[in-house]
Amino acid sequence: MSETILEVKNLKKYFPIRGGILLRQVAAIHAVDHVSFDVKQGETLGLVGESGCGKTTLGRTILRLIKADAGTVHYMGRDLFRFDRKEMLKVRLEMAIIFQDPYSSLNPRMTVADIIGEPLDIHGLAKGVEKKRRIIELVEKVGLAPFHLYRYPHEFSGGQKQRIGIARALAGNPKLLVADEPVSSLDVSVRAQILNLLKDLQEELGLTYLYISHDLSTVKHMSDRVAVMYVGKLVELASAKEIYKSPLHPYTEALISAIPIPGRGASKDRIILKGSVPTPIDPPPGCRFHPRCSYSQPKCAKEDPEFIETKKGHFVACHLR
Amino acid sequence: MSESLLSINDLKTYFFTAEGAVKAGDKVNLEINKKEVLGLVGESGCGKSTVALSIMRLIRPPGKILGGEIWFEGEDLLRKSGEEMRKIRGGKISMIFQNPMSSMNPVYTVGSQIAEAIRLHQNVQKHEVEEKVVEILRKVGIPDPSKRMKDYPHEYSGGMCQRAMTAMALSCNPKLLIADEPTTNLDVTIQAQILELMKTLRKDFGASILLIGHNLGVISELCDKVAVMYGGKLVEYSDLTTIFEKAKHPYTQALLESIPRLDVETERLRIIPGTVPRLINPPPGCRFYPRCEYAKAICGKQEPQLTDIRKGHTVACFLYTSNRRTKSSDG
Amino acid sequence: MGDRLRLNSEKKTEEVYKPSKATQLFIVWRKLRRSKLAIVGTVIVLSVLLVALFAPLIAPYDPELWGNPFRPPSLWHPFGTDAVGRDMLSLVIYGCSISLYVGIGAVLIELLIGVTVGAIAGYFGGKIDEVLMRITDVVLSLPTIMLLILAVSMFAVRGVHVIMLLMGMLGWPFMARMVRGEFLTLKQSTFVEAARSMGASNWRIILRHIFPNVVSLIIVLVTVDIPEYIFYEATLSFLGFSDISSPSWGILLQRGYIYFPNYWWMITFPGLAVFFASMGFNLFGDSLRDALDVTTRGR
Repeated sequence: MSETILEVKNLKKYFPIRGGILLRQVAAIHAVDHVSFDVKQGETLGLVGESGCGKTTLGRTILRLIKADAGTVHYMGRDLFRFDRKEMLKVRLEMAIIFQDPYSSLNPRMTVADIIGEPLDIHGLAKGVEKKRRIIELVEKVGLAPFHLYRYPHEFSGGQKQRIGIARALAGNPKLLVADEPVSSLDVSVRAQILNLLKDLQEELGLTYLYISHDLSTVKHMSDRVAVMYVGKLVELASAKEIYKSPLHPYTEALISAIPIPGRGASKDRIILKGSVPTPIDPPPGCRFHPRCSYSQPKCAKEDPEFIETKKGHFVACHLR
Repeated sequence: MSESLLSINDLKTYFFTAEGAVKAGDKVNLEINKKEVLGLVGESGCGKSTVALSIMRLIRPPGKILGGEIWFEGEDLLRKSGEEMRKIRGGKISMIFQNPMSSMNPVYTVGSQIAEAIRLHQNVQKHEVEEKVVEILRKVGIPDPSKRMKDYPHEYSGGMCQRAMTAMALSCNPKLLIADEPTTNLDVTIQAQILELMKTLRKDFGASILLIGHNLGVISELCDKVAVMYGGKLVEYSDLTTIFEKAKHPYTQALLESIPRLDVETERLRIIPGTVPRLINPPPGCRFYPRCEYAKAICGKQEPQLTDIRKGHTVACFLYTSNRRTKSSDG
Repeated sequence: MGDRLRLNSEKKTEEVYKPSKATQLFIVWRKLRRSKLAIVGTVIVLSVLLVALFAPLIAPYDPELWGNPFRPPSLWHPFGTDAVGRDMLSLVIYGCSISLYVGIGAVLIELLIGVTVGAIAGYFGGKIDEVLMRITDVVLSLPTIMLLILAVSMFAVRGVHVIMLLMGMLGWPFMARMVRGEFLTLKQSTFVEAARSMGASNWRIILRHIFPNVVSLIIVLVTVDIPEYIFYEATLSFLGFSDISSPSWGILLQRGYIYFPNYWWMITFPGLAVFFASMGFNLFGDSLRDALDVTTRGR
């Protein structure tokens, strides 16, 4: 039974919208709305959802890069939000993030060596020859060569830049890695390299991943368990196999059905949702999905369903399941 | 026997920059029949958008179309004057782009932009134009069209913008619709809607579609035939089933095995080592040579020609061309 | 650049090639060398600086020495002499020092205030930003010419220094705005977010991440503002609102203006000096911006 490395309870983050002369708050974007889930040590938890669902905000809030409005995050059993500056600084080494856009996540004026070595500098982990040795070790781990060290980011391809970003994330010997759409900006023929690299590193270093993406195919491939988000709320959480074979939430069903499979011609029983993804600004009461749901009942418009474990290890937020 | 609508022969489009010639399109051969959907697949920088822009003659300096022919309705588009091309663009051949929000002018209402397209290409009375706009918006599934035509592009969601763009493109009943990555920036559920829409429209309007993209799933949804491009060159061309089940070119094969799929479970994906090549001053030989696991010596020296392996299946690879005659171009 | 490479980690650490700082400077130099305009600009700027620094050594005569008046350009006096026989060439050379002193001095003051204000406002945002921007707006709306004229009339004896101080103290808002804009943008960039996620302090982010990306902008602004201030001073002096005793180019223009066109050399040469100096700095600034861009190697 693996330990829980991360316990998120009722996490809430709203962004105020200000208007009027006095710039009062007139509305709020419900980016993350009472989200709860666990992440077990050594697993990859996939977080999937379309634009505006809040997955990126969720990732950032968990790492305390954005200040949460309510809720708790327990890291290794301790309340992360209560950490003081010193403890937080240490934790920053253990929780690292890989960004979506390799082009903008590396400082264009720093050499690769400086970029990768920065966590070591900030925390005084290594100096001089020891530091150089560690940087070379990291660079080789991600599949690059030492002679790359003194070049600048723009001299590398997208895939290589992403490797540099991964090396930087690994510099502090992290335990948890948040990967925010790590391959979405890369060419299709290069994605497999990075995905395989992430898997290899996980095995080798015993890492835990929170893999955030809008691409369900990639998420399913990379993850042990998958969480589905819709307009700021978690609607389903189950193992990757379960999510695909027997999705319980109507949105998950529609999402899976909407993904075109290469090679298969047009499928006739595809679920096409009406309307567009709603904005997370002051959502109406009731289930967020009910306006587009083909199974919706009157109850769905009034009450927000709870996120409950209906089968073992399978959580859904739906009145009908 | 389906009739040919558009036939591209040996198209060569280069961009001349200070650092050298970018060979964006090098001896490209394609054919689209009437009422057919051709998918043009490839990653970024493979030259597929260049092909689309070449058809529309929208290549601007430093780009130049250096050679080849594009036969459309019995005439070579590359020999037409600017005036003649303007009549064709938006009329007989129209295009929709990747980013719908920025493809429309933000300071004009959606309705007025569609109306402009209609006025340019059709002889319609003023009062009829508005009717036509409403009708076409309804056809693409925009709710409450008579009200929404007065909205501005930023008031539309991404999916609706794409519908509006499609409306604009279809407003003059084109024979060929070029769709350049039309769903790449859309959410998955919205993408499904747009693909459904395109299927319906294809039936209703009877237009041929050139669908350009890098998502093999999207291509499978809509296309009858598929052409695969890599490094500015066409590497494989056949019908949908053949490409996905019996792909012959190493790139196509590797690509199909390297993408994660919902229906297939794998521990490790197949890796294509290396990176997508730059099109500036490419080295001699096959463009895929540095990354190909079947590479032979000749692959690094000469470029393989497009050959017919079977009827309707063309490949450019030395694994298959040693003893065959090369494909002869026909008009 | 092979992705498949896995090098032998037994290789000694020190053997890894590292380009020294000298090499990086060399790359900048090489890029400057490429463009003809850049060369012209650099040469002019260097000459102007040298002349300004070594004026007493270069000038053939003492600029205050009276002599044969109204002599046209000749071998003895390449730029001619003025109304009381002072050598125009020496005057222009000394004028260079003064004009440049004013120009560079004003820019330094502008830099000091403008960059600090812009950086703090841009990085910290919120109320601090609002307050600083309001101050900036106020200073921006002050009528520079009038204040300069007023100040000069009050401190007539040390006119040149006053002008320099005031131009700097009134000119910083533009620099502040530009720097603030850059900071605002860079603050949002992903690599700054990455640094924060590692636990970098604000100081580190400002100095290590944001500043290096702003420096090239600042350098360009500096090279554009120097000629602007030279011009400004020349205008003021030309209009008569400055101290006659230190002959800046502007003063020379003012003196020579009434004698045009008969004794044309009295205004032409100072005028040409101003023109060439400005053009030189502008060209240099443009090319420097391109040369400092790390993404090109100037091959």
